[in-house]
This record gives sequence, C-alpha cells and structure tokens, in this order.
Amino acid sequence: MKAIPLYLHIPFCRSKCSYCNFYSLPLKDERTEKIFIEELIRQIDFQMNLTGSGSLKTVYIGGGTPSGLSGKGMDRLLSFLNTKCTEETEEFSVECNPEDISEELIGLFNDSPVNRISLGVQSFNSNVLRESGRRTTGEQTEKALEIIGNHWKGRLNIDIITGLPGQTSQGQLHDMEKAVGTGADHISCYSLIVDEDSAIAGHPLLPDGEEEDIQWNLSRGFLLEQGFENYEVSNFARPGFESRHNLQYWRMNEYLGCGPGAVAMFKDHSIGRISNPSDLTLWLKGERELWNETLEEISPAEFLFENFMMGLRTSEGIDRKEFHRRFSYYPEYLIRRTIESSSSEYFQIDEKALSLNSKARLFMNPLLLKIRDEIEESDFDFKVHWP
Amino acid sequence: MNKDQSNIRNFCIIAHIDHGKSTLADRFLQKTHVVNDRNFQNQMLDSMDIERERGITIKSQAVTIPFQSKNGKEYELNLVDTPGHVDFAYEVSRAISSCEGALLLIDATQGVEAQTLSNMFMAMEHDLEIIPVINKMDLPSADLERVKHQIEHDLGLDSDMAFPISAKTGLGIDELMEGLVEWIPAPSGERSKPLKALIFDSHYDPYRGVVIHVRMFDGELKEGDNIKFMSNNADYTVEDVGVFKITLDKTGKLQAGDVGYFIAGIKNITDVRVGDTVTFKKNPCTEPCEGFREVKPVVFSSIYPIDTNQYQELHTAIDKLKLNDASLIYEKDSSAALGFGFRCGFLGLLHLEVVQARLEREFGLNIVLTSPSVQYRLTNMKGETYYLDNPAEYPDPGSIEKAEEPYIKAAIITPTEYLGNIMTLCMNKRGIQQEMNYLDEKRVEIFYEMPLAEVLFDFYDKLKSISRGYASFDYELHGFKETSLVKLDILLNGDVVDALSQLVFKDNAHDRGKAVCKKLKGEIPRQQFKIPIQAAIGNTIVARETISALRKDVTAKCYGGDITRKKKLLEKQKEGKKRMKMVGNVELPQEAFLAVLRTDED
Repeated sequence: MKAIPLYLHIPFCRSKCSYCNFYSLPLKDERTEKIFIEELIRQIDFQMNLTGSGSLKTVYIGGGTPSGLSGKGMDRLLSFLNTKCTEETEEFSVECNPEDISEELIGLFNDSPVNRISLGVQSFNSNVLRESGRRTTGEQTEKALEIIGNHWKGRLNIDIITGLPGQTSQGQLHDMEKAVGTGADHISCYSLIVDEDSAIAGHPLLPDGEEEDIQWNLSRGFLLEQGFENYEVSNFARPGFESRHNLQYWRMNEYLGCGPGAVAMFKDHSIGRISNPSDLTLWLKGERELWNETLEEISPAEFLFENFMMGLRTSEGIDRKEFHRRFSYYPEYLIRRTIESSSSEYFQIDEKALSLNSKARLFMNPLLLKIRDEIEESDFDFKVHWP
Repeated sequence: MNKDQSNIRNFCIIAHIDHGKSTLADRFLQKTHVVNDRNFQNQMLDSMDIERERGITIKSQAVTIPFQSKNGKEYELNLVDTPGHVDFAYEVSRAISSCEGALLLIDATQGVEAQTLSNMFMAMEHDLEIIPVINKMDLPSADLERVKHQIEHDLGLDSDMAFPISAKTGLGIDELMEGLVEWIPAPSGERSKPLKALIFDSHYDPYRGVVIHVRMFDGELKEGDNIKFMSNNADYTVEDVGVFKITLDKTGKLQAGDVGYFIAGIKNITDVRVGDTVTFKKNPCTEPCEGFREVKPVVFSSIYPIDTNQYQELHTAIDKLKLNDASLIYEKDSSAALGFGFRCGFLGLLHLEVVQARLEREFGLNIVLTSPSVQYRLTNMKGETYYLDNPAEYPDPGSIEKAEEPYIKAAIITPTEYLGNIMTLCMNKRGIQQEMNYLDEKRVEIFYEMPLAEVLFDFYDKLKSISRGYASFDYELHGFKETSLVKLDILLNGDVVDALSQLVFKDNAHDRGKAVCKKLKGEIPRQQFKIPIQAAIGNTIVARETISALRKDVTAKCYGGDITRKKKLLEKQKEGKKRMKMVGNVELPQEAFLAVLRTDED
C-alpha cells in the first residue's frame, strides 16, 4: 500500500488578519472542537481508503490556526495521525502562531510525529503587525522563538510577508536578519497579495508595487547571501531542508485534503480536485461519507498545463521521466514554440529535468500565458497516466 | 383600406437629459398594451445596451401606439423618440421635423434647463405645437408652482396648458394622452400628391438590408413602387412597407401623415441620409423637405485594432456600424506606432465613446483610439486655406501663416451660487463671456464663446462637479478664431509615439506636457525594463517621467488549493493583455490613449 501526502485545514482563528483570504472562523467551544476533530479523523480514514493509501507520506496541518486548538484536541488529532505515520513518513508540519507557543505545546509536539513547525511571523515589527490586523506583537514573537530555541527538537520554518502596510525596505531587511538569526532552516518569503475582497485592500500605508518589489528582492538577496537556496518562487531553504510536503504540490502528485476549506487532488474515476466547502456547518452536515465536497474534473489539457504551471516554480523543475510517464511526451517537446521564442537562457534542459533559470522564474506569468496558448492551439493526442 | 388622417398624431418628447423621457415613452407603451407586461423592460425604446446603461437615448426610435380616446375615436399615435444628447442635435432636429407636436418634458424637481430651452427653440423653428409636461410629480421635492412660473417666464408658454404627471407611477398619463390628441394637430399632407417622405433615421437589418424610417408628408408609398432619394438621385424598388410596433409590422402601404418604415434592398447606408427626401423616380415631388444637410463631424480620432491582424475585421465592423450610424465618417489611416486603422469623425465625444463601446461589445474587437482632436483651419504661406484634424499631418510650423480653431457658443444655466466657480472654469478654458441673464433671483443664464477643443474633453464633467450637478449646458458651433498652435509629441523609450501626439494651444503646452507624462506614468503598467516618458515640442523636451522596471511577475503563493484561483488570475491577465497595444517594445493599455486627454487632477 502506498504512502500519500495529507493536508489538514483547521479553520479556527482568534481573529482574522486583514490580508487573509483563507477560510477561518472564531475559536469554538470544546464540544464543537471535539465534533470537528472526530469528523476530521473520519474524513482522513475515508480518503485514505478511497485512494488505497496505507500510510502518510507527508503531513501538513494548516489553517486557520492549528496551534489554537485546545491541548486535548491537539493531542487527540496527533495521536490519531501517529497511527498513520510510518518509517515512510518524511515530514510532518504544523502551522503555529507565535502567541500560541508554550512549553506545553512544544512538549506535545516533541512527543508526537510532528517534526517541523511553521511559525507565522510575517514581520517582527509591532507596528506593521498591528496595521495588518495581526494579534501578535514583535515581543511575543521573540518570546515564542526563545521557547522554540530552548525546547524544540525538530525543524523550523518562518513565514515572512513583504509589502505589509507600514513596511519599509530597511524594516524588511531588518526582519530578514532576525528571521535568519532564529536558526530556522526554511524561510517562506511571500509578496503580499492584496485580494480586493480582503480587509487590507486600500490600506493607506500599503507600499506601492515598486516599493514592494524592492522589499522582496532585498529579502531574496539577503537570504541567498546567507546560504539559503531559492528552491521555489517564494521559498528558501538550507540545502536538504526543502519542504517535502509542499514539493508534492509542485510535482503535481496526488494528495489528500481534509477539513472545511481544504482541497485534495486524487484520481476518483477521473483526475480531479476535491474541494471541501468553506463552511464548517455545511461540512459537518454531510452524510456518512460525504462532506458536501465539490469536484472539479480536470481535463487532460488542463492537467498538462498545471504540470507546467506548478513544476516550473521550483529550481528542480519538471522531472522529464515522470512527465513522460504521465503524458507520453517530453515536456520541452510540448512547449517548443514557447522555448524557442524566449531568451535562450530562460529554459534549462538536461537529462533529468526541464526548469527555468532563477531570473525567468520571477517572470513566469508571461511565460505561462504563452505556454497556455501553445497547449490550447495544438491538438496533441495523449492519454494521461496519473498518479 | 384608407386610414382617416385626422386620427393620426405625430409627436416627439423633448427634454433635458434625465428628465424622464424614456420612462414616459415606456408608460405610453404599457398603457396601450403595445408590449405585453411579460415582455416589458424598462427603457423599451433604448434598444442598445449602452443606451440603457448610460440612460441616454442615442438612436431615434419610432413606435405606433393605438389609443382609444374618451371621445370615442380610435387614434394612432406615432411617437418619435429622439436622442438626448447635444452630440446628436441634428438627429433631434430631423426627428422633430417629422412631427406636428412635441411634449416638452420638465423635471418637477429640477425645472427648466439649458437643453429644455434649446430643444424648445428647435421645436418652435419647426412650428410644432408644444405641450409642457411636468414630470416626477411623485417626488416629495416636486415644485409645481416654481416650474409653472418658469414655463411662463423662461419659456413663454402657457402654464395652464401644462400637464403634471409622474411617468414612473403613471399619474396623469391618461389626461396627458387625451390632451395630446386634443392639442396636437393631425397631419395635413395630401395623399393625391406625388410621394414626399422625410428620412429621419435608418437602421440595418442583417437579413433585409437597410430599414428606412420615414415620415410621410404627401402621397402614398406601396410595395413595388420605384422611388429615389432626392439628394443623390439613387433609385430603388420598394420591397416592404409597414409601421413600428416595437418590431416591424408590415402593412403594405404608408400614406401621407404616417410614420413608418420601408425596405428597398439597399445594402449601403451611405445612400441613406438622415434628412433626405424620398419621392417617386417618375413623377417626383417638386421640393424636398427642408433642412437637409450633410452632418459634419466635430471630433476626430483614429481607431486601430490592437491585434494588427484584425484590421480587416475592424474594417467590416466600421462598415456595419456605419449602416446604423450615418453620422460616422471614416477613411483609412496608418500610424508608425499602430499600423493600419481608420481616421474617424464623430459628432462629439459621447458619439466617439458609443462607437468605441459598440465596436468592442457588438463586434468583439480590441481597439485603441488616438487622442481626439478638433478640426483646425490652417493657412499656408501662399495664402491657401485647408483643414487639419490629424496631429500626424501637422506641417512644419514655418509653413503656417495662420492657424484658426473652431469655437462654440455655450449656454449655461446655473443656480447663482455656482456662478463664480463656473465663470472661473470658463475663463480657464479660454472662454469669453458674451451675455448674462438672470432668469429669476436664483438662476442665471450665461453665454460664452469658447474654443471647442477646450470643452470637448472634460468641461462637462467639471461643470457638473463644481455645480453639484445643477448647472446645465448646451452649445452650438460658432465659426473659427485665430489661435496659436503647437504640436505636443510624446516619446516612450525615446521614440515618438505618433498616436499620442496632440495639437494644443501654445500657452498650455508646457503644463499639458507635464500632466500627460504624469498621467501616462499612472496608466502604463511597469514592464521588465525602465521606460522614460517625455513630452516634446519640436526638439525641446518639456516634461519627463520614468516608469521603473518590474522586478518580478509571478504569483507569490501557489500550493495545491491555489491552482484553480491561479488559473483564473492568469485568464484575467490574458484578457488584460488583449487590451494592450505593443508600441515598439512597450505595452500600452487602451486606456492610456484616451487618458492623456483627461489630465487635470481633481
């Protein structure tokens, strides 16, 4: 039986950050939390059975705020997941907010299969955090990192967002220095995406596009200098510390997704994405083996495009052999017009992979548009072999 | 069967914009069950989406409404709906001359406005019986006595004749319709005379060719008749004749006094001119209908396809638009920056926007329009005079002896409290005040002579904003005056973009250059390289801005659950690209071309 990646969405937060467009709800009472966790466990079992998975390859608990679960709830969930983890389990991450970090929580993690904490720092600057609607302060974050430093035995990722309201180039660089100083082996550095529906849209202190560009590029430069590798558009890791779970997405491998708002991708008759409703009540209301999920069938041409869209984000690129197994063609053949019409150094092809060089990766959108056109205009005849 | 001419009434509704013309037309249609309630939609006669959206009637429309009067007679009311914007004054005049009477609609909360006056004068010139109608009586702020006073004082009409109504609620509509058949005279044409019919509009039907809208003045028109147009002697055989009942209703015959349509296998709308007279090929009428003139455009701009491969499609589309829009003129044009396109003349800026919107919506084209320009009159050193509307053709300034620009006479009516601001605005637009009349203690009417170029672009918006919407505006062309012109060029990446060049009044050129550069900086998205923007007069750079280079163009976050959203974003980006024109190696958004005109900071 195979091992499969699993994403869990814990939709509860103490408060909503103003840039957030994930599904989240205020914290619930213990009883609701218990019902939620038991239902989550049932869904994990169900999806594992449906896909014939014997164990979990990687686990990522995200949200929302997973660290906001009660100790009891967290213990119950981790104990269950422990029964699904084996030698084959490569990585087990939990997203945490600094204000939730306590010696107890870290102790719980240390005694569980959890081996990676992803800490949502975003910035160390209290003003920037406040303008972004985050509850945490810079001091709280430092305190959390101190506890982690003293007690945590596993790996550590730090999430940083550039271009937050009130942020400056200098402040950004300062944040990066602090992030690296924590000893984290992985740093995700995201440009703020201003969703027009999010509360942050129109914030008067938002840096403009040019300023945000500068902040992000300064951060990137600093991380490279410090020996991090920019192995995916927004992700930086010390060699060997890449996120194994996230790589599954970019390689377009199948994965399970449980909890309201979570998305899964696996083959159930046809290739499809299975989206859980972003609505706890609706999700809970489903019958025995139903959680009111919606299924998005993915056509072969769409799936092909997604393989390019995701695969080209990473420095490892698209695995040519695996691609050939899936589509019966090598990737460079299917987008030769795009490759030929781009600067010669943009695409790199070797026996193992087709990838973009580090500059082209940052200007991927126009390339993706070209690739999309090329796929749409050609009528390749292929069957998809997946997973 | 011959109809009794005395039971026909031909009328139009004239009003200032927003005074409720289309709503009143709707109410007539509903009252008389021309349209059943199920098929009814608001602004029934405004058949174009853009008309409903903007609340402006652009095309003339006609409809025949049956009406059973209390006096026992069955009437046939022909409502000729007229365009509601100064750009289309000629169309309005043709529609008006198709009628014997006009309902002069006045908003009970707003009172008499500039267009109310100008429309009334137009109706009077055509000897129409004018019935004042006071609309929006359902609103709490309706002020009947004030409007009645204005009708007496400003319009010189009998306010006792006025009908207070609410087109929205239907209040007073029955009384109005009775008044309409009582006061508006029946048409008086003679059926025995040779055919004489006025073309007041036409539209193109893809299956049947050009459908011509006519008002019959004398004689009869039947299927099979051989007819000709008096302006160009083109002759045709009539294939179909009928009246308007929202759709075309074939009757086989039209008689003196009727309003209706005919089809004569005409494929080319340029043969059909609004204002022209239709008569028999043999045995024609002696005199054409009065008032025919060639419509002269006042705003010029070139239209280019964003994708140069769409030139042919654009050509076909403009040809088709022209079928419905006799006032649109065009000729082939080419630009170093934009390739092949068309130089077009429009009746005004609204007309231009309508054409742009229709090319995009109805024909699915992605186009750019170059900076609109008025037509200048130049005199060269040899004393020869010629007209120029295309900045690209502006000659060596040394060869110009004299330059003149078109002027308008503007009429503005405003509450006195905004007078100061409006006078400042007009002065800034190089206006010269001609006259000022206090209509009453609260309202004043002022007349200005102003360069057309100054009012075309943002004058109306500004006027509305400084007067909180209370000032109204109307204008007519008023000859040429000497001016001092320069050509302002815009350079992107060091190259002149001919499509962005404009002819401007010399004293404004520096400020204009600065404003344009600034505006363009805001409109042009950052690209992978730095783009300098410069404004130049001849070889002198008068302004400069720089668009900094884009350092990344990639979605920051993309995990499993983001894929669908990311694909939608890409789709959006792709749509956006379709609206970008490559000029050299710079991508210019469509908006940039028109934005350079709206440079004033608000």
